[in-house]
Formats: sequence, structure tokens, C-alpha cells
Amino acid sequence: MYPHMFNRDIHNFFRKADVRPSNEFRATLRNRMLAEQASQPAAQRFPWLRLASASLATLAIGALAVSLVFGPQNSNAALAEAIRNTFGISEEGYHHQKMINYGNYDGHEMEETTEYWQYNGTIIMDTTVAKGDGVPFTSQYLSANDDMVCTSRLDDAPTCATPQLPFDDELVNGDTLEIIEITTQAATDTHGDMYLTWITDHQLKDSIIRISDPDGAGFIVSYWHGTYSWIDDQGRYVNRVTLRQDSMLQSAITQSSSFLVQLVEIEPTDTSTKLDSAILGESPVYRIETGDWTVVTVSDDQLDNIRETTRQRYVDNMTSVETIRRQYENSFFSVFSIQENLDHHKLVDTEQIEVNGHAVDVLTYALDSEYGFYIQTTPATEAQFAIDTETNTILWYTMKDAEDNVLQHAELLLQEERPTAPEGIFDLEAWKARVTAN
Amino acid sequence: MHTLEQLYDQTLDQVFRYVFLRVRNRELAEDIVSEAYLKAAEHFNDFVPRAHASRRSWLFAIVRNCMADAFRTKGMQNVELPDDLPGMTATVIEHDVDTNIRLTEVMHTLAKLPERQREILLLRYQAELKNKEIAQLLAIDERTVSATLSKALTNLRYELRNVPAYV
Repeated sequence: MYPHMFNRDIHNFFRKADVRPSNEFRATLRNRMLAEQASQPAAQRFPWLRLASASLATLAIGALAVSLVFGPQNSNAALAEAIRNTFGISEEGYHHQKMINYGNYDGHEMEETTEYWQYNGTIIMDTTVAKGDGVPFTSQYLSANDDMVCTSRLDDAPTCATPQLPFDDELVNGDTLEIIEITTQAATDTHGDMYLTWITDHQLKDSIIRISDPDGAGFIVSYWHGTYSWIDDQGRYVNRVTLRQDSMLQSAITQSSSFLVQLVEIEPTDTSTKLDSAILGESPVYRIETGDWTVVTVSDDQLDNIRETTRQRYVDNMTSVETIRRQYENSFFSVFSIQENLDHHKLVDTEQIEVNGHAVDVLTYALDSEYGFYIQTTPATEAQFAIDTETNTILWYTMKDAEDNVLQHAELLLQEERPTAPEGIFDLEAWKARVTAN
Repeated sequence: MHTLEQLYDQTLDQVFRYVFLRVRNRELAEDIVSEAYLKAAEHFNDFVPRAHASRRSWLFAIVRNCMADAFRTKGMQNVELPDDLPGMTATVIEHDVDTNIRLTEVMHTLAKLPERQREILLLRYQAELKNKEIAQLLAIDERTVSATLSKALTNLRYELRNVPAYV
């Protein structure tokens, strides 16, 4: 048995081989303990009563602190609200945040700083990877009122595009849908995944895309019913990964220094073979042509499916602003599933500490291994959220493995809110110039 | 922040099995655990939260003191583990025979480990304390906890190398 499997097995084993006190002992001791506490002088039981000379305001704060004590039954709701407060920023007013995030991603040490501005529905998000196994990397996103999305990377001028519905109801087999070109440096960063996520969220959900590097030696990804499938440049099926295993997708992307993303052309089908079968490699329907195009053959049924799911996606109003904001939140929590599946994780500890004069609740969750795994190759077993009880926002987040090693730590370094934005912050030309200068 | 009842509900099982596996006697374990929680009730509001100090490590410090008192007053030492582990298997989940067998094997192997390694292993996996809490409790560096734990697991794995479940 491998060491990490052994360690996990021993841990689980101890939990399973549970030696418990009897129920009678449990109840008796509880009563004795509470009686012991009740027998203590009032000042001992309620230390705030010692503050006889304290002001009314102080007592009010004390009472508020008592009311904020978390119970296991409401901690998930409280945490969800704190996450919403931190990242689900309202459209009103000027918001400015800065966070640092470091950890070990698939064996690569990485530290990234992300700065985020928002005002009147416009978002700018700059991410800088300050440390890693590769060269420093910077990426920028700008979303101007959903009318324009720009992305950039080190040394490149921003590439801007207007999100459009990729195809309408008149789409028929043989239509060429759209070509999107995005380049990114992806040697060791995770941003390739971010770019791809943006595209799939916006325009290619349940559609088919091709990824290849500029030298033409690349690979293809199909995104279909929540499944990515890798096809190599010879058209051979490589593997199939689920949406929850994006790390594999990311790993594959990072094999290339840069890549192009294109929507494939859909041409009339001469087969009823299901695309799912093709993904499984049972009956390939992919045909690789020389040059820049990949042709994918799909059935009419599948085309209808693509059309409907894509239309629905737009009905769901997955706007660029929302998506970029979600990317920012996701940069903070690399284990997405923690937020989405709080009920699957066990709250094992709550405590209150003081940070810079603020009361901070620290919630520790033991992660269900099925849900507590996202990017890291080492399974995460514990996640800790620190919530400022005054602002009800997340201050930091830490994720650890079974041996208490920190896999990821993210902190909010700056939070600024004003009624209006400082002049020039969202000047598109200035932003482009700044990005280009970087 | 915990209330006393919350602390009790969240920690009793961990405290009990930690003490039980140290003293290997149910009655004695119950005495020590009772003593510890009564002391915790008495001094509950003396605990001053500091950054990175937890209620659990505070409680376990009381538990360890109570255990040390018991060892002193009863003149107990760390005894060899009996073959049939009386009082233990009956409390383990009844239908899981495999777990019972493995528990016996693992506990015998644990008894062979150096005291410090055994203690840290039990605090980590039985009491489910974090490395940071163990470091606070034992007044040692967190890195020492991590290194000792790693060594203990390596030793445990080596000692269990012939047990089918761990091959």
C-alpha cells in the first residue's frame, strides 16, 4: 500500500473503530457538568457581568457577540451568506478588492495576486502570478457592461470581443459558427483553464470546440454534456474527463505554450452515430483535415441538442460580468465544490478569535473526499473559513491535506467601497495602455 | 466560540477514545473523562481566546492533566496491551469483525511505538486534533509535531507490513 493511502486508511480506520462512551455515561456526565457550571458564581458564568462600569454600548456589543455564536445547524447558511457578501458584490457603488492566493497546484508552487474593481456593472480583474515553476505571468480581464470582454497576457495587447449568441435558431448542418482566437501562456499557470471556462460558459456550453497550438500540433477538446474529451492531433481518442476533474483538462492545456480556441465547423452528417460514442472512442466520427480546421460530424438530433442547450444557456443570462466575477471568487476558493456542496462537509470546529480588533469566526470543515478534491493531486481533507463578524465577509480561506499540510491559502488583502468610482479607473483606453505597458 | 454544551457534544467521543486507548480501562477512562469535563465546567470562562488557540487544545490540556493525576495516584504505568483487549472490542461497531481484528493488530503495534510518537498519533487520529493544537498542547513546535507524526506513520506502516490489509 502506498504511504499516502496507508495514512488515509489509518485515519479512516481510527474513525471507524470508534470507541464510544455509553449513552448513560454521556447523559450523566452532561448533567453533572451543567450542574457544576450552574453552581459557579454569576460573574464566573457570565464574565461580561464583571464589567460593572462598562458602558451600555459595550454591553450591547457583548450581547451581539453572544447572538453571533454559530451553531452547526446554521453555520452553513452563515458561511454561504458571508461568501455572497464577499464575492457576490452588488451592482451599486464602487468596489475594489485585492487578494493573494498561494498553494500547490498539481505539484507546482504558485502564488498569485488578483485585484478586482467593479462599478456600474463594469469589471476589471488583473491577476499576476508572482511565483511559479515557470516565468512570471500576468493576465487581465476587462468586461465593460457586458458589451465587451477583453483578455490579455504579458507582452500582449488586449484582445477584445463582443460576446454574441454563437448561433441562432436558423442554424443548420454545415454552418460555420464562429471563430474565437485567444492565446495564453500556459506553461505552468492555471489560467488556461480560466480562459477555457470563460468560453465554455459563454458560448460553447454543450458544444464542440477545438484547441490547438499555433504550430498545428495541438489537440482537440469536445465539451459535451459536462464532459471534456481529449482527442490528439491524429484524431485518436485520448481520454474523457468529467467537469469535476478540470485538473486533467488543465494539465493537458499546460502541455502547450499557447493555443487557439476555435469553434469547429459543423457539416452535414452521414452517420447516426452518437457523439457520445465518439467520445468513448467506440465509433469515431472525427475527421482531421490538414491545416487549421477540424471537422466534426454530428447528427441532426445532436445538432438540435446543441442548439437548445446553447439557447437555454443564454436564457439563463450567463453574462460576462457574472462569469468574470465568478472567476474571481473561484480564484479565492480553488475547491469550488466546498461552496456548492456545503451540506456534504462536516463542520468539525467553530471558534472565535480576534484579528485587528475584529471578532472573527473560524469555521473548520472536514471535507468529504468525494467533494473535497479539485485541483490538487493530494486530496484535501480540511477547509477553514474565517469570517469577520462585523462585515460578515470572508477574510481568509485555508485548505489542508490529511497531514495538515497547507494546500492552498487565500487572503483578502484589501476591501474598499465607495459610492462612486475614482476618476479614470474604468477608462478603457487607459486600461489598454496600462496592460500593454505591462 | 463554543458554549460548554457545544464543546461537550463536539468533543466527548474524541476525548473518551483518546483516554480509553491510553489507559485501556473503561472505568478508569470514565473517571478521568468525568473529572476533566467537570474541571472544564468550573474554569470554562477562564479561557481567553487568543489568535490560533482553540477550545479543544485547552480542553485536551485539562484531560492530559487529569490523566497524569490518575497515573500518579494509581501508580499506573503504560502497561502492555492484553491479548483480548477487554472492554474494547465490545464497544466497537459490532458487525464489523474485520475492524475489530484490525483494531487489535493496530493497537498492539501502536504499543511498540515510542511514547511520544504514540501520543501524537493518538492525538491526531483518535482525538482528531490538528497539528497546531497538538503543538500547543505539548508545548512543542508544529514542525516537530508534523515530523513526529510522519515518523510514527512510517514506523506503524513498517510494523504492519505483514498485515494483509496494509500490504
